[in-house]
Amino acid sequence: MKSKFIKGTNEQYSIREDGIMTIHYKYTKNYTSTYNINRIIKPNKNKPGIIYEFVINRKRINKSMNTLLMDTFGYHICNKCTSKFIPNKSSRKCDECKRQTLCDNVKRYNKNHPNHVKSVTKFKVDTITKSYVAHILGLKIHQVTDELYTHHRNILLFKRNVAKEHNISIFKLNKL
Amino acid sequence: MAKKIKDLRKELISIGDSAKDNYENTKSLNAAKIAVQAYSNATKTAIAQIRYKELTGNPTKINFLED
Repeated sequence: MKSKFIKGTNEQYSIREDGIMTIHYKYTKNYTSTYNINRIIKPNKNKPGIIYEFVINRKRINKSMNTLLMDTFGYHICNKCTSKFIPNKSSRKCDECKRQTLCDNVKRYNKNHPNHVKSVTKFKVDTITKSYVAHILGLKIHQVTDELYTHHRNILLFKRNVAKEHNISIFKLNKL
Repeated sequence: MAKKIKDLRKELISIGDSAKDNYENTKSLNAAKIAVQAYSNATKTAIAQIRYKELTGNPTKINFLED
């Protein structure tokens, strides 16, 4: 695996591709000379995430693994699946893991709140607005005439009725 | 054979209506499928007409954009 020196540390610290940080030398107590030491630095246990604590010019610095990786290699490592990704903003998860987490949260919420799900689905069945029809047909709202709106609304209601009676999804009905 | 899109739409809607009646009597999925397809095609004719009117609507000629 490749490793690069961290900028501004005078080749004292380096970081590997997978986010492991090593120290190469240390200063003596009076800061007059150095001695070699090749040791892996463990992340700070008292802070959330992976944060390294190291000393530069007698100052204690805390930096996250992803910040150091971004500075040296130009990518982040996902906290969940450990894959490399380039973030838009500072984030700990890749897009796929973010989407998966959101789906899991929605599923958990729906499982714990069945009454809310029922109310939402009822609202959808009752209201087929003109803008909804325009969106489905790929038209602008002013292009949808009243005749076309009522016609398409009746189709949607008919489809929903058939799907409900035969206990199949509308997607399956369209694929028949 | 329908000569105009309006007639075609009417025919498709009538096919859809008869298939829908058939579905209400027999509750067969095949009839429902035919009804949905006929109605959907009728909608497509309406959309095609809208697009056509958009292309040939007023003003048909804009002097500023002419050579």
